[in-house]
Amino acid sequence: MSFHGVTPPVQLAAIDTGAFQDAALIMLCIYLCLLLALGVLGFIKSRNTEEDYYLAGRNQGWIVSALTIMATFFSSFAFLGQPGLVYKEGAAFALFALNVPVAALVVYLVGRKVSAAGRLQGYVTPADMICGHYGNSAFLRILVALVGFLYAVPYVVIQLDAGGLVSRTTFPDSENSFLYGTYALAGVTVIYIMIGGMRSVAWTDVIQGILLIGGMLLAGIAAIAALGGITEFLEKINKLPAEMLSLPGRSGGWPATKMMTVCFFAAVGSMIQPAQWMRYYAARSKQDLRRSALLLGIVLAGCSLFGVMLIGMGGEVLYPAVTGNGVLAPNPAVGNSFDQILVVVLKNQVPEVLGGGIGLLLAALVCVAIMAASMSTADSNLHAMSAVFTRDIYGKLVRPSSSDTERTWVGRFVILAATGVAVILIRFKEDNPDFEPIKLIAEMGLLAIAFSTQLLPITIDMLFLRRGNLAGAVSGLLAGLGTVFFFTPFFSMAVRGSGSGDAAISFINNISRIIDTGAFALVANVSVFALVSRFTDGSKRESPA
Amino acid sequence: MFDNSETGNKRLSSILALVFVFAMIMGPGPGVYLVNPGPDHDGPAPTLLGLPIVYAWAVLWFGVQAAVLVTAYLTIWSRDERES
Repeated sequence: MSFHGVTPPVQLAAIDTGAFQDAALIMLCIYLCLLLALGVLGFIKSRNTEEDYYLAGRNQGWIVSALTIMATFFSSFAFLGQPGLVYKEGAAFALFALNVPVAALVVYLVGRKVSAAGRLQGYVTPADMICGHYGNSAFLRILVALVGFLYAVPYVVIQLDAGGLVSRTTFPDSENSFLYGTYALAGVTVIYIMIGGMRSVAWTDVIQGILLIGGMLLAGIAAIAALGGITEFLEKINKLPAEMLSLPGRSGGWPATKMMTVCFFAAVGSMIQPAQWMRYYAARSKQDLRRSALLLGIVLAGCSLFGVMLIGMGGEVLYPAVTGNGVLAPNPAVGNSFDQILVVVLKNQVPEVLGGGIGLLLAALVCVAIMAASMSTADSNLHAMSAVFTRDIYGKLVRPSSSDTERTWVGRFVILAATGVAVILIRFKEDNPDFEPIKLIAEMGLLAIAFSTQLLPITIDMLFLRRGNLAGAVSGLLAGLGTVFFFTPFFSMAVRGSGSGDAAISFINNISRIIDTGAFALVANVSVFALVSRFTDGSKRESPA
Repeated sequence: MFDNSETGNKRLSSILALVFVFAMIMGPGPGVYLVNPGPDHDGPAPTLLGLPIVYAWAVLWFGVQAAVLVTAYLTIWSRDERES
C-alpha cells in the first residue's frame, strides 16, 4: 500500500540509456581532465611554503572566495539528500533552504574578523587563533583539532561513497560502477590537492561551484519539464496528499521546532568548521567576504529553493513512494534509496522531454554537477584535515622543530593516507553491506555539524564578547562535545540492554525528534563556559580580531 | 536615504537583526503553523499564487531574508569597510 496508491510513473520515458551513459562518461572525463589541469596550474603558481600550500598566499579574490565557500558548503547532500528528503517528506523540507541566508550572515560576521586576525597574526588553522586568544594550551589545541577531525572524517568518507552511488545510478549495467566512481573521485581529488594545495582546491571549486549552481537550476527546470510545464507541475503537486504538503512531513519527523533549529545549526556549524575557517583566512580582503556572503545568501538559496527542491516534489508525482509493513520506501523504479530520485528523474525523463541531444547533454551535465558537489566538499575537508594535523598536532606537539617544507610534505601524506583509508573502508562495505565501521561513520556524519557547532561559544566570545578565559573555553568545549556524545551510536552501544540505558536511549531519541542535537549540546557548552569563566581567575587576552 | 551617523548605523543593525530573527521564527519556525494545512487536512490543498502554501511560505520568508542581506550589504557592511 502507498500513501496515494502504487501507480506507474506518469511518464515512463523510452530513452536510449546507452546514449545517456556515453554522454555522462564523456562529460565526466572532460570534467576530471579539467580538474587535473587546474591542479597542475595551481602547482606551477605555488610557492613551497606552508602558508601558500594551505591558504594560497591569502590572496583569493571575491569570485574564487565565493565559489569555494559555496562549493565547500554544498556537498552531495544538495543534489542527493535534499531532493531525497523532499521526495520522502514533502514540501515541508523545502523550508530547509532558509538555512543558506543564515550561513551568509556567518560568512560576513565571523569571516571578516577571522580573516583580519589571520592576516595580522599569521594564523592557518582555527586552533591557531583560538589558542592565540585564550593562551597557548596544548589541551585546548587538541580539543579544537578533534572537533575538526570529527567534522571532516565522516564528510570525506560520505562524499567518496556518494561518488560511487552516482556512478552506480548512472551506469547500472556496469558491474563495478560503484567502485570505479569512488576510485575516480578519490584519485583525481588526491592528485590535485597534493600537488597544488589550497590554490588548486579553490580553483577547482570555482568550476565545481559553477556546475553546482547550474546543475541545481537545471534540475528544477527538468522537474517542471518532466511534468509538462509550470501549470501542469503545480496542478499535479497540489493534488499530492495533505501530509506531503504540510509539516511535520510524511514521516512526522519535521515539526517546526526541529526545522528551525536544524536550519540555524546546519548553517552555523558548517560555516565555522575548519575548511570554511581557512577560506576566511585565505580571502584577500573583508570586501571579498562581503560580496561572497551576499552571493551565497541569495544565489545559492535561490538555486536550492527554485531548483533542486522541485525535483523531490515532481519525483513524488512521477514515482510515488510506497509503504510495505508500515515502512515507507521509494518507488521500486527509483531503487532502494530516496536519495536517488534526482538521478532517476534526470535519466528517465529529461532526455525525452527536452529532446534527444540537448536533453542528454543537460542530464549528463547534472550528473557531473553531483560528482562536483561531492568532490568539492571532499577536497576542502581533506585539505583542512591535513592542515589541522600538521599545524596543530605534528608541528606543535610531535615535532615543534619541523620546517615549513617538512610539514607541507607531512600534510600531503595525511591527505593520501586519509583518502586511502576511506577508499578501503568503502571497498569493504561494497562487499559487505553490513560493514559496521561505515555504518558508524555515516551515523557520525549526521552529528558532524553538532560537533563543529561546539566551536560557536568560543568563536563568539573571542570575536565579540571577550569575557571568557582558558578554563572556561576548555570546560565548555568538553561539556558540549560530551553532550553530543550521548547522541552518537557509541553511547547507545555502551548502555543498551540495561533498564536505565534503554530509558536513556528512548529519552534521547524523543528529544532529538523535537530539536536539533547541536542545540542541546550548545546549551551545556555555553552554561559551563560562562560559569567556569565567571568563577575562575583565568588571564583574559586581547582579542586578535 | 539612510542615516549615516553611528547611532543610525546601530539602529539599522538592530532593526535588520530583529527582522532576520523574526523571519527565522516565522519561516522555518513555529510561524509556519499559521498557514500549515496539517496532515489531516481534507479537501483541496491551500495554495498561494498556485504554489502549495508551505512552499509559498518558504519563498516569502526567503524574500525577507534576502532583503535583509541586500540592505545590510548596501549600508552597514559597506560603512564598516570604509571605516576600517
